[in-house]
Amino acid sequence: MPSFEDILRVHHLQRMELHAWIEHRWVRPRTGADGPTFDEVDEARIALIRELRQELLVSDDALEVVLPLLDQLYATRRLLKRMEAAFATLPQGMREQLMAKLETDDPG
Amino acid sequence: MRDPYEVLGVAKDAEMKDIKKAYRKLARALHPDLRPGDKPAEERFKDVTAAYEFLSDETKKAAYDRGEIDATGAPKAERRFYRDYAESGPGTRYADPGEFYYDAAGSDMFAELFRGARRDARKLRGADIRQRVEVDFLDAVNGAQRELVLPEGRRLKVTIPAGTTDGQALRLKGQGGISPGGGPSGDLHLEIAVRPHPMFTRKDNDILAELPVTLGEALLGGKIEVPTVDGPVSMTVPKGSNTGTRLRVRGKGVPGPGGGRGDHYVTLKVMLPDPPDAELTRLIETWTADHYYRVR
Repeated sequence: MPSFEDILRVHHLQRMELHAWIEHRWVRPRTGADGPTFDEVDEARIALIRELRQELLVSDDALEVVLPLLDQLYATRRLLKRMEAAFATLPQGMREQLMAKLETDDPG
Repeated sequence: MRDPYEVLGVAKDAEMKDIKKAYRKLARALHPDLRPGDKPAEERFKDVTAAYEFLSDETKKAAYDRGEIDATGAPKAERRFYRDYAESGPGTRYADPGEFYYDAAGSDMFAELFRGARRDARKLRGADIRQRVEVDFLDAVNGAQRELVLPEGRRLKVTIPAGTTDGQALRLKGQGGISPGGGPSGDLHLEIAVRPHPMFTRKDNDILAELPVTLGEALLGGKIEVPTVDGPVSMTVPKGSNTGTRLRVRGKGVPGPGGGRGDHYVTLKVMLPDPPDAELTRLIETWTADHYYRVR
């Protein structure tokens, strides 16, 4: 698994930057024997944060807002996926009833 | 690849800072991690990024502007986005409860959903049952009682209301499947297929039929008996009727929903005696000799 130094090199980051991101808990690597180790989800998240800041000029203050919102969005989507899987195990008749309800019910 | 200027929506002579600005605006709107599940946005994002990268390369941009190369570049390896991880197991790492990060699985929302689900399970209706029922033409017109055998073996008497049409759906509330949780039963949906009748056809609430008459009945008129959906009725054929003459028997059609009734229409069809009658043939021979009439 890539170490702190590997990440700096691969993603062209300054030491200070990555430290700050971990400090802010934007990135949450696991702690190994020789310091933090990063797995695929961490790397993808680092790439996203780098892109938001450098390419799309999202400021650090805005990131404080954006990242928790994104985490909420993904948490909701994970939940939806679990519900989808649970839904698939229901008998056909119940699925049809649920579908009919979802199509007609206005939550407002 | 399409024209990179067009992809970014900028003029051919746009300055680099405007190209950059256009790219940022599009990328913010289309970034796949900000729009999970939106496939078209992802495709456009890739186009926009490729176009921007192409124009960011001064050598390529200059060559393209001079018309020396087209916009195709070497394909790049598929990028794995954050969302590819965030929507599955690994993503839960970024949803610790207790942090200010939010975790739907640990939140009120989940508990609320399942509380709702259990409540609904108790109340859940039984399944709806759909069944096709064939009925005779006259039963559909006049109404009838039918005994059905439902899929689970249950027998049920149903009333086919008078005036039922082919393809009509009848809903019998609460006659469907039984609820597992003791809630209300489902509904029984019957789809009615009406068998055709050898004599009658139906048009809205009217009945149409062909009525064979003898040469004498057509020519001389008289009272004849007409079969209707209501049984035989007596009707007067006017003198000088012909094949194709349409007559109406009022109120002998299909009962309408409002209590009224359609009419019975007959179209006369003059039948010659079969086998031919020798006397009639001789009569017509004599008559035809000096009585030609045009029919074509």
